[in-house]
Amino acid sequence: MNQPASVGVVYEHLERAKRTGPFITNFYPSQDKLQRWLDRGELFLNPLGDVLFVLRRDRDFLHLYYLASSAADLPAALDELDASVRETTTVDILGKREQVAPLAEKFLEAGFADLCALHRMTRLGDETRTAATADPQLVFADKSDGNALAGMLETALDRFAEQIPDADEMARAAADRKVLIIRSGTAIAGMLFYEVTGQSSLLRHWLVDPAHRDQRVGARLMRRYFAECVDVRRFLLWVISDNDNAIDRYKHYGYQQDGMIDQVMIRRPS
Amino acid sequence: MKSVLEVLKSIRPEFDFATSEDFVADGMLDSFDVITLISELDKCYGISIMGTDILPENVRSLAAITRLLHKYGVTP
Repeated sequence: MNQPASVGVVYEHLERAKRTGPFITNFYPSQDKLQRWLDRGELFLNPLGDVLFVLRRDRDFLHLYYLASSAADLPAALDELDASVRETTTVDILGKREQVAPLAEKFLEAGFADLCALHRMTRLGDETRTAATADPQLVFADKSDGNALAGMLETALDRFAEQIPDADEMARAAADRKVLIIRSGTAIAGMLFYEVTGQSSLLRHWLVDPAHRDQRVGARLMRRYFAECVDVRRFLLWVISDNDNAIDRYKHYGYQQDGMIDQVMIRRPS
Repeated sequence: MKSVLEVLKSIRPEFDFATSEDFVADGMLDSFDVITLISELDKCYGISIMGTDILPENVRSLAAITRLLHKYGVTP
């Protein structure tokens, strides 16, 4: 594995891999994300034959990204990768179910196991503008809340499956006014972290502290989120497929599963 | 044969692509949509777009998509 010196080097490798013709991939980074991963020394490249693997360190494991001309090229390259990477590795296979299933087969052959599936849910923005109601406890988080927010997420979520942001990412999101919180004294009773790109918004994480459940904390956050995103036409989120409670809540707010899935697989060192 | 606008509408019916000059910056197409769009263009126009051409800048506007299709001998 080698650490690329710059974003340009990563793009050169991607270009080289794409020259073989049509390709399959799960690597869709924005340039600023790539730069951040590089600055922190978290990104590694491993070209093996016609397959380019990109690995990203996250806490105590690696995320695996691939770029290959066909699924058939993956098993041999994955075997070769296994010889050099002796760490827990996860892979997210994204697409419609019929696209994901044959790829997941290849990862199973290479020693990966199913961890969970995430389903994408979509909600269309409505024409009726929801005005933000006065709610003095509901505010945008401060940059200084980064550690507390990351701690809440770390405690509640599965680090292998749910792309948990760290304190630095949460602090930046807070500074960018993309994290709504409800304070309860010095504690945070609930949080909603989102991203907006033009007319689309991705709900990254919506979380209520267990001590503040059944107090309408989540509902207040969600209402305010929609009120903040009056120009958004498409709201998206990813939810673990067996989390029926969350899925029911999202449906209550108008989200529907749209057929996109993220099959998360894991390989632990033998 | 479908027009490019019809192909776009079939992928993301909730957006009015005719009013945007940058589908990616306006949040109308994300990374998955770009891949879906390329595959729909392949099917619709009987071409095979190369991996090196699968870039957001090649699908960010009607003009960019038209240029991309011209490169493959298609006049939509």
